[in-house]
Amino acid sequence: MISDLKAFLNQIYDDEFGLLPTNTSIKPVHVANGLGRALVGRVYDSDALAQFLRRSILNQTKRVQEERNPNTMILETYGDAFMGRESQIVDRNALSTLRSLAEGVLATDKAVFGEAARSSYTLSTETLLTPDLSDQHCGTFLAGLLTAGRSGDAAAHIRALLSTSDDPWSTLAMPMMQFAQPRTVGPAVTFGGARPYAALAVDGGGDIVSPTLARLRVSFDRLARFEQSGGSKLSSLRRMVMFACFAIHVHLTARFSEAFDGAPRPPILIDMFDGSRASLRNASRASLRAAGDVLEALVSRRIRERISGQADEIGVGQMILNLPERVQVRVRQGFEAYRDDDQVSDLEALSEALWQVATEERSHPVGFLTELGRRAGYLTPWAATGRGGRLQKRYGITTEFLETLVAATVEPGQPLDFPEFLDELRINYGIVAGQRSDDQIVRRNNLAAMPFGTPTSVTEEDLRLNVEALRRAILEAGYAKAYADGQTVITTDPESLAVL
Amino acid sequence: MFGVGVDDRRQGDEAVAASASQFVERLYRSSNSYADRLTSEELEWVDVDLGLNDRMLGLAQAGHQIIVTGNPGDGKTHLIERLRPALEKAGALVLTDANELSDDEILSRWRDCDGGGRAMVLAINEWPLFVLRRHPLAAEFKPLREALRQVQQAISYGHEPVREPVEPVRVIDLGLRNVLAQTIVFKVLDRLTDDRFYAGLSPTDPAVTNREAMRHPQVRERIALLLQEVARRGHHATMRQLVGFVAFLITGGATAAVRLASPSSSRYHYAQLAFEGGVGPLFDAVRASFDPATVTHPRRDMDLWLGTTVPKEWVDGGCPAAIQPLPSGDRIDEYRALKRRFFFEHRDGRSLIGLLPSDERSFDKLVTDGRAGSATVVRDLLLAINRFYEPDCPDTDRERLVLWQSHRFDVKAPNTFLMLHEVRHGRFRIRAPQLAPWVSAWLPQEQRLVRMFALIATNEHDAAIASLLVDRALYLTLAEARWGLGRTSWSRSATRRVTRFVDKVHSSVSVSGNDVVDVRIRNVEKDIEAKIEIQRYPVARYIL
Repeated sequence: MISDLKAFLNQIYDDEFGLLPTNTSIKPVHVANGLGRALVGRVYDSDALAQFLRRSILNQTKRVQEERNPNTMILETYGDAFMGRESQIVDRNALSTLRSLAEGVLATDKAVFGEAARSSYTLSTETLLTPDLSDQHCGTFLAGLLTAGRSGDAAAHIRALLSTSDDPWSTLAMPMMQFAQPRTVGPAVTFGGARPYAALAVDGGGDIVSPTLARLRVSFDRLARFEQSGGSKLSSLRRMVMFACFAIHVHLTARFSEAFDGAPRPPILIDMFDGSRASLRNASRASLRAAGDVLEALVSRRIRERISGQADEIGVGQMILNLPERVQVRVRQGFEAYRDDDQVSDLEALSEALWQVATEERSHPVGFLTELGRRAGYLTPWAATGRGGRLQKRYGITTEFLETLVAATVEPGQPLDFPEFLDELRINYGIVAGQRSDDQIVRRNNLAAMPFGTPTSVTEEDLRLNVEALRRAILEAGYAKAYADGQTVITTDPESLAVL
Repeated sequence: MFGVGVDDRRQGDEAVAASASQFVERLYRSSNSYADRLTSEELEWVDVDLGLNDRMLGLAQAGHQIIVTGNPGDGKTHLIERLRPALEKAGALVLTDANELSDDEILSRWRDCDGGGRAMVLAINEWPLFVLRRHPLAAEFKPLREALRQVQQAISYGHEPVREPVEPVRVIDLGLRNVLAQTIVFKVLDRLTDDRFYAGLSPTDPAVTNREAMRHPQVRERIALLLQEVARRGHHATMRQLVGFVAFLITGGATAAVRLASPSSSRYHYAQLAFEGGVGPLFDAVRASFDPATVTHPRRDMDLWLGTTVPKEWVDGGCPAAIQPLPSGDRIDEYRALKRRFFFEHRDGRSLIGLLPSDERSFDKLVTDGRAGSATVVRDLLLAINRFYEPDCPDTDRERLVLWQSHRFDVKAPNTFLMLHEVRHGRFRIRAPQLAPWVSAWLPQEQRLVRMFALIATNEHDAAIASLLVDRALYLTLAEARWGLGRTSWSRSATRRVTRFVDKVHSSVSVSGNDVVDVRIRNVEKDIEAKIEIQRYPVARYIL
């Protein structure tokens, strides 16, 4: 019996994805906090820092900033963190300046509120890890990915990064962190529950069985090896988290094809232009919309599987009556509409109605993916002007994300030529740019050889220009060498390509 | 017996002449390997001995495995094919058609030579050579590993000497030579202006007049000067590109009939052809480097406009007609053509090169005079990098590299920057490129060109921790930054190189030993900057 539609759907999400794609305010900093927490196994109750950073809180009703944590309170409660420059007296103006600046440093990702349990700081060290659960199990999923079978290079690298505190961010937080108490977090928090996520099962050799997750794991570890060779701590942490966000995107959009033989997997068509090539931006947007469609198809199918036994037993009508009153009417209306309009079975109509009402109550999972991708840098407004930008997205690429992608794809010391690199992008992440071999993938919106949804219209010329734009972008970023015959080689060691 | 009539002979002579002149014209148009396409006689016509023949033969006679690599068009096959008989006579296995052979075949034959102590010469492009190591036969095959090491360590900027080559492998990377060096340009000019290509052509054919002009010492020197400028700006030209460029200057890539029918007097003039009409990377590089038509000369421009230059200062002893009296619609085109001719044919033409921006000149002086090693240069570079992050930082910041950092997980541009570390200028060195011994052994001095130097950051033990390769483009960008022009004008390439360098320096500095540190914070949105003193140990405190 479904007594709580939200819990019912969450259970499906957790079982299917190992995380809950329900938070449309998700931010990369939440993922960073969740991943760090799950890997380290500790959090810090750092209310002192949260209060220090948030002098004022926005009153949502009156829409005004209200001072909640004035300097007087901070000095009285946490006086040990301050000393006067030449006497016992602390300069209050200097304190105000410090707090104003510190908020822009440690809360720059706009995820810090008045208490640690609801805050994710701009992470730089272990002591900034909080119990904030805004990551919706993303951290536990990712930590599971990085440690499945055996703890890999990426897990070790992130733990090592968080174990030091000699960077400016950690140093700035240090005086307030003396009031924070560490707390060990158990598997229920670190791994989302007692049950391990089934898709992260490993074979006898300790390798992840899921092809998509196995490739993501290899890419993660490769990126970590690149980072270990010389990136600074904060840049390295940022790139690891950026790739983590992208890995979640790839995982969710590939899940349907892994769960069911022959199920579609939409490509990720990156648009290297600024939205100026209409056919390209529309095709890219179509591939993102297809990502939402496969999520919907997968979850609908799981709903149907879960209710089929009960439907056989007590009937669809009784099942609707057993639902909470709050949703009964809407589910019934949806059920009848689906059954009448689409000529589908009662079971299918009910599962569609449940999905429809559930996503009305909570946002569609593609909203979660879109928000995370937008903030991490691989989703960009569909159009540069008008409402198209806010409401619709396409796949784009920032220089830092491109660098991250190269480092995750090309093994240090083992360069790839450009076509090989493009193949690796497609195989590992489902990314296509517009090679000739991508034409049909883009048109059918499916990496497999079957059309998925409405065929996508795109001009071949735009696709080829897109490939060239990607090549040029990598060259400009310094991760490639172009030979006189037009061949381009991608490497993670650009200095080695220099000539006299 | 059938005799050959006068008319037939004349027609035959004309055919031969036409064929020979068309040969030059085809050298521009063709993008295929000369060695694959030309007869041995034709190869001889364009062959330029770059001083490698004796070296190659000596290595083969000593039983070496010689890997000739480089970019496509660098002349690998051409070089080896001409030496093939002598190399084979010396007992070497010669493989010039690596593209035709599978990796398996190449490695099998190489291994056979290695096992049997036989000399080998392999011509192979750089990337296919790298790809060989993926083959199962490459596993544990030391000669291939050594060949790749020799490619990768051909140039270094560090303190440590590069290890000597491991016998019997010798890599000759033709990509390292500067084929735009004056001596090579002169040799190519000699080859393509040879009498054999011009017999029987009409005296009014622009190819004939171009050829005559290009045999003049001053014009030859200016062509070399132009190409030297292109090389300095970082373009790596291949032999095929150079030969194609010179061929185009002579023929315009057109047949004699087309040239003769041209209505414009200057269209097929070599001084025009150097900057207009040519297609290919070298032509693009020439246009991007220097065009006399776009350089203003404070004295000479008016003389050219009015036709008042001194006749004896021109190579043909004649004063070109004035531009001013021409119809207004023709003036611009005619002036552009004349200005280009001025560069090549006027005694003072080379002064145009000297009128390029001073930052460009100073880079040339740095790399050619060796002043790149001076402390002033280090300080100027540090100030430029500091101003990349903080455009209004004071001149005193030239004494140290200030390590500003930003950090946020959201893709939005950061608005707050922190600085906890700085590195004094004494920790930075300038290093010129060093050639590995196996390169110095064959690369003639005149074919070497220093296009960049390295800014090296060192730790307290004087060990290198990060390096920034400074080429002309980056130097000019840094020069702009030094004048306070912000990062908005920086190319993505320059930005990433500087960021990576600073990132690497950052990763090797630490404050763990300090009890009290200063943290500078700058919020560009609120326009606030403050220096905060923080005691880290024994009790962490803000000192306010």
